[in-house]
Amino acid sequence: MIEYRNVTKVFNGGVTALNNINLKIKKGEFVSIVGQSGTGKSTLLKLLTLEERPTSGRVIFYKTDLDEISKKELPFHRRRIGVIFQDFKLLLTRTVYENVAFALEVAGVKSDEIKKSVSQILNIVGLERKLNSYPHELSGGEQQRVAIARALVHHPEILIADEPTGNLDIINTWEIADLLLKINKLGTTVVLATHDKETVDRLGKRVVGIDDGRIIRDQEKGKYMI
Amino acid sequence: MWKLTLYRAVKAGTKNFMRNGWLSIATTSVIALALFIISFLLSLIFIANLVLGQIQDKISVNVYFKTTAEEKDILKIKENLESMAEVKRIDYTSREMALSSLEEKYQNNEVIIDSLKELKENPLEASLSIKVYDPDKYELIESELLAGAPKEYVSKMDYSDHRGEIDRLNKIIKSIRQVGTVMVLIFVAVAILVTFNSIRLTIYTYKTEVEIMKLVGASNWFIRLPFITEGVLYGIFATLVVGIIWYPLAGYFAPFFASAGIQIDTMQLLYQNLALIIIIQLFTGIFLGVISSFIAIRRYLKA
Ligand SMILES: Nc1ncnc2c1ncn2[C@@H]1O[C@H](COP(=O)(O)OP(=O)(O)OP(=O)(O)O)[C@@H](O)[C@H]1O
Ligand SMILES: [Mg+2]
Repeated sequence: MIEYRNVTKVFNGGVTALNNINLKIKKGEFVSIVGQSGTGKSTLLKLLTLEERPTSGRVIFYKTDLDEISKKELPFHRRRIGVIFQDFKLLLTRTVYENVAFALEVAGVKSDEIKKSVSQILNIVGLERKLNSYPHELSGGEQQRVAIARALVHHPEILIADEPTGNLDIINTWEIADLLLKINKLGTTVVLATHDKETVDRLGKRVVGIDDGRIIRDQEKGKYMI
Repeated sequence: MWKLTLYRAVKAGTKNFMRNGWLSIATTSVIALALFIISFLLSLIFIANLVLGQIQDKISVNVYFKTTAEEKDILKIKENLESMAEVKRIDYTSREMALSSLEEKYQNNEVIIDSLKELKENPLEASLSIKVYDPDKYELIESELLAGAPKEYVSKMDYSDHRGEIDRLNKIIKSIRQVGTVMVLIFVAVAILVTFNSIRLTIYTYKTEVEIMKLVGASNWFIRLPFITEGVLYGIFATLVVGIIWYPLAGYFAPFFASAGIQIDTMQLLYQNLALIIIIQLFTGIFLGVISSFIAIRRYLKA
C-alpha cells in the first residue's frame, strides 16, 4: 500500500508543486490522477520513484518510509516499480528485446531466465513478432507497449504511468488504456497521471483530481471533471 | 552475479565502442597522440641521458709523468687515487703502450713511422687517465694527486683545458632533466584534459540512456562499467597505434644518430626494452582512458 501523509513539495524557485497532500492507494487499485498542466501530477509520481523528495511530510511505500531509502538502496527500490512516460524513454540503439531485457540485466538475472520472462511479457503486450525491431521502426503505440513490457518484466508491485497516451492518436490511446486495465486485472497496482478525458472516462476507475497542488476530488468509478 | 554484471558491462562497452565509430576513432587518436608525445619525451630524456653518459665517460683528467718517473711510483699513485670513493676508473698507459698505440695509429704514414724509428729512446710519457662519477669532483682529485705525487714527477695535467666544458656539460644535463620532467608533466595533464573532454562528449550522447538506466534500477557501477570498458578500449587501441608508428620511427632515427657520431642503436634499444615500453604505454593509455571516463561519468550519476 502507498500512502502520502501531509506531503508538501516546494521547488528551489519557490514554486509550491504539492500542498499538503494526503492520499492512500491500496494494493491492486487503479488510480488516475487528473488535473491541468502544471498542477503537480508528475511531481506526485516522482516522489514514488524518488526522482524528487518531499519538502515536508512522508511517503510510505509498502511499509517502507521512502525517506529512509539511501542512495545505495535507490536502485533496489526502483526495481520494485515500473514506470512509463509520454516520450516512452526507450534505448534507441537497442532492439525491442534488448530494451525489455535491460530491466532484468540490471538486476543481474541470468540470461535464460531473461529469455523466458521477456518473451512472456512481449506476448502480453502483443509484440512477440517485433522482437528484433528498433524503436524507430515502430509506431508510437508499439513503442509505448515496449515501454510497458520493460516496466512490467521484473514483476513490479506498481506500475506508474505519467501521461502515457500524450503522444498517441485515439486508437492507440484506447489500446494502451485497455492494456493498462488488463495489467491491473493481472494484479499490478496502476497509478496513471493524465489530462486525457477520453482515457479516464473509458477506464471507469478511481479518479483523484488535483488543482494547484491540492487534491480537490477523489471518486471511485469517477469521470474526468475539472 | 558480479561476474555476470561485469560480463554484460564489458559487452555493452564494446558494443558502444564499435557503434560510436568516428567518435571512438577520434578519441583513440587523441589518446594515441598524448601517448606518443609522452613516449617521445621520455625516450628523448632516456637517449639524452645515454648520450650524456657517453660524453661524460669520455671526459677524464689525464696526468702525464716525466720520463724519469719510475713505473712503480706511478702505479702507487694510481692505487692511492683508486681508493677514493669519487674515482670511477683509472687507466694506466705505460710509455711502451703509448708508443705502440702511436705506431698503430700512423701505421700507414711512413714519414711518421720512419722518424719514430730514428729515435734512440722512447720520447713518450706514461700517463694516468682518471675518470670520476661526478665531474664536479675533479678539483678534489687534483689536490689529492698533488699531495701524493712528488711535484717533479708530474709533467702536465690536461685538466684545466676541460674545466669549462665539464661545467657547461653539467649544466646542460641538469637543465635537460628538469625541462624534460616539466614537459612530461605538462603533457600528461593536457592528455588527461583532452581525453576527459572527448569521453565526456561520448557520454553526453548517452545522457538520456543513463537517465533511463537509473530509472529501471541500474546501480551506479552497472552504468559506469560500460564507459570504463570504452576507456580501456581507447587505451588499448591507442597503444596499438603508437606501437605501429613507433617501430618504423626507431628505424628512421637510427642513421641520424649514427651520423651525429653518437653510438646509439635505436632499434636495439627498442628491442631490448620492448616489453617495458609496451607495458608503460598500455598502462598509460588505459590509465588515461579509465580515469577520464570515470571523471566524465561522475556528474551524470549524481542524485
Ligand atoms: N525541477 C523543478 N524545478 C522547479 N519547478 C518545477 C520542477 N518540476 C516541476 N516544477 C514546477 O512544479 C509545478 C508542477 O509540475 P508538474 O510537472 O508536477 O506538473 P504536471 O501536473 O505534471 O503538469 P503536466 O500535465 O504539464 O505534465 C509546475 O509549476 C512546474 O513548473
Ligand atoms: Mg507531468
